[in-house]
Amino acid sequence: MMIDIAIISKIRKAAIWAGLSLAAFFGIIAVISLVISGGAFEKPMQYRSVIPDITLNPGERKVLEFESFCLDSGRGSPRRGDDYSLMNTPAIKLRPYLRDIFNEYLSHPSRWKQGDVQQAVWYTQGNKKWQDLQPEQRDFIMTATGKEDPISGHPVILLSRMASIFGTVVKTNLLLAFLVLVLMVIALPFPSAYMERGISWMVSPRLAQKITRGRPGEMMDDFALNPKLQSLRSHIDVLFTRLVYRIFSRRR
Amino acid sequence: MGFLGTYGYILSIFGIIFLGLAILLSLFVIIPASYWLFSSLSSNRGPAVFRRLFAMLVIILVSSSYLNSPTFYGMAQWRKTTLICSFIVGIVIPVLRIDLVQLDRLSDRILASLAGLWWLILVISEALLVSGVEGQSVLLYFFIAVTGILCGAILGTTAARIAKQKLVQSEPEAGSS
Repeated sequence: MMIDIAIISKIRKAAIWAGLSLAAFFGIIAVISLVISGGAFEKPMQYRSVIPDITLNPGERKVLEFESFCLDSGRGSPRRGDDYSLMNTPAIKLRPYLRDIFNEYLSHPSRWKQGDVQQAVWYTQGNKKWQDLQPEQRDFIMTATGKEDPISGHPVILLSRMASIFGTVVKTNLLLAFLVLVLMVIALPFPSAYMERGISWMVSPRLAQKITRGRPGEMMDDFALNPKLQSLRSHIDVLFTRLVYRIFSRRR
Repeated sequence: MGFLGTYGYILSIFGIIFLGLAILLSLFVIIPASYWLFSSLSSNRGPAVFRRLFAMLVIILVSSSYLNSPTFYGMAQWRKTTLICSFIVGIVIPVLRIDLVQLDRLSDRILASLAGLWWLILVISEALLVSGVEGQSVLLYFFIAVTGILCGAILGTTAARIAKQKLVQSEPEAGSS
């Protein structure tokens, strides 16, 4: 099989450029974040001075009691007898104000009710409105975060809500479009013609022609006319036809 | 806000822009994708078996990806039974009605209509999902049934067409002997 060296070098060049662009994009955002945050990696938490670290020596056993909170209001409740494990959760880093809420409660556990803290944790998910919270729950959130209705308009919450609403639809539609494009390219003799008819309603006929009759269209047609691919298509047709002939000749 | 909070904040703004573009793109591509699917499925020209088997794979992959999304967790629990039963119905009917196959037709209207129905239910279900309507078990069962019938019909109509060709070829031979 012949491999076009020019295409490989183009792919390599594109991969290098994509890598550099991504590194520059994330790097610039990191620099901006560093400047805005004044060099502090994470906001210092008060509870560390109140709650001692737990250390376990090899072979040592300790019995400790923990208060737990549900992080996701949409999930089912755990059943009696379910096992729990103690672990870090990415939600603490990813969800805005969750650390502040736990910090306030752990620093002053006797000041706040567990139920109010739970409502505040669910509020950081973005599914609960500020107006629907009890006054003491709002007080708790304001004390913990220093803001009234802190998640309102927060881009992290907005993004997660957008993803939960549109994620499935976007994934399904793009998967369908991609797979049907692959289907056209490998199963039809001149895919560019079908492609042009499919997109001509969206863009002007001239642009549709430019897209489909340009280099990408030529590449698709060349790939579709590949002798090995044509032979694969014919072989599968012949195999299926033989199978049907065999089944129907037995029936007769 | 610390570095991590600020970093997440700025990245999320870009995330919203990219997701917004992806939403727009996904809304636009669904129409040409459906046209490409209908034309590839219904055409009787050329090596149709390979094309239809691949189209069936596409339909199964897209349907299972959609139905297995976390949004539908716990909904329509008799999926496999519905799919298998409807698949059998889809495969058996065209084979039993082999007498209705017209070999001179360049496109298969039944397959195009079934693919259209499948696409329509998918779009309606997506619209309900986006508008926040909870519980669409009935529609999901309908979607699974249409998926099964469509996949079965792809195999059934293709096999029926080939069998009809065989019958037409063998009739003159039988007549001459």
